[in-house]
Amino acid sequence: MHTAILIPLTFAGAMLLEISRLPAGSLGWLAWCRPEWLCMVTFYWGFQSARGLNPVVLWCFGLFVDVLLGQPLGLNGAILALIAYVVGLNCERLRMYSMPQQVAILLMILLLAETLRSWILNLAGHSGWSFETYVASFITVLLWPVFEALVKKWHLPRSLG
Amino acid sequence: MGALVLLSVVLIVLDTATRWVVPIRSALVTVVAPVQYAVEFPYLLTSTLQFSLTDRNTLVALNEAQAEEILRLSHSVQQLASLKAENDSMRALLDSKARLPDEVTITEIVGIVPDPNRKEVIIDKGRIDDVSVGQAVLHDQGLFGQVIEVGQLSSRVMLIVDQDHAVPVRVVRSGVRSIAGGSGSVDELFLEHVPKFADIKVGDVVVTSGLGGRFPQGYPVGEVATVDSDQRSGFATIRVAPAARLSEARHLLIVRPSEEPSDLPAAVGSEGSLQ
Repeated sequence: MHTAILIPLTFAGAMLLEISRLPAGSLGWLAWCRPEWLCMVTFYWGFQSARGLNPVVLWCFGLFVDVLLGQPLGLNGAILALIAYVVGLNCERLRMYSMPQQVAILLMILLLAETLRSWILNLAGHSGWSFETYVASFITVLLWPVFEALVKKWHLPRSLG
Repeated sequence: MGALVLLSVVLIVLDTATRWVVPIRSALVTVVAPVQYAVEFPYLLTSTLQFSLTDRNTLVALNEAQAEEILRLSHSVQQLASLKAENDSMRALLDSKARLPDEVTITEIVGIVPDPNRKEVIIDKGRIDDVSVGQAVLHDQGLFGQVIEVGQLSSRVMLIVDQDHAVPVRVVRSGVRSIAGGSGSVDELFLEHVPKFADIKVGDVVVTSGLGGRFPQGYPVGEVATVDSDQRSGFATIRVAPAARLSEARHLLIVRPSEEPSDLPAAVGSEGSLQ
């Protein structure tokens, strides 16, 4: 599938998954395990897309995410644009990396992104922080190999052949 | 990249410290409302199908239960009418202005804010339905929360148990006033800064006091579940179980205060707002 179609499709899917409803009550802890779909998609396209991601478009997209998640305007845009920028700078290297190396880099980026998010949310007056915040980062890296293989199948079908 | 980060910092500061970006936020809320509906569609469809596929016996039983409930409620309403008349005449004797009833709008939850640190929901009424920031939201048993963000077609409601929420309350039995702060857990609130000798017991009903002017007075908030008096501290730890079934709610009432100012004291500080 053409990248110009696949990129918006994966971002739209990630946004829907970010806000989809999870079970409440006794399964309420599942909310901590929600993968960071948007960061994962940004990471993938940051180094796999030939042209990279446009930080300005990503930042504008982040504004919609901010509203959907009820977070301060500009927060998610900054995080996504920063991930795209950092990954874009190292895209050649990341393409050559093995899966464990990619997982390690992704985990580092996600943990830094979550820390940045928590700092800003606390500065903005949103109370509540705990180590559970980082659970989502670990779940995300566990899903990364499957996600990468699936998107690659659509993105670069010949590479699997 | 530096410009984008700088722009984000400016926007975050403006969004949290001022009300200048409220129009931008409202416009964006309107744009993303269809996304919320799209995400909730499977749940709405499931509940509609469940209702459509309910068998006749269940429906008959439900109907009978509701008829009984209506009878019970109409009995209460009849008592309420005489009590209201009595109250009005007493207020007239005291030369105090009669309190006008609040208007309500029925609304439905169409989304839940996915952040586990936040207790917020999205409702299907917005500016076109005259919803505005600060309006109280009720469930059938008691206070549910307040509107914190309004779009054209939908709004965001913060639940009373959100850890950033506080509501001025009064204990019905003793008249002790306090602030009920959210705990972040869906089944408890805490009464803040209550002296340990205050007359509050387990089982006491807690209602909105109306102080602060944001919440109308007299709506049930919950029932005192535990009272712990720490000997070393001057304050008691009082846990309140919310009256409204917060996690089961689907339909809610938005309270639009009556136009006439009530005869309560004027707004006191920032009580009743967000902490």
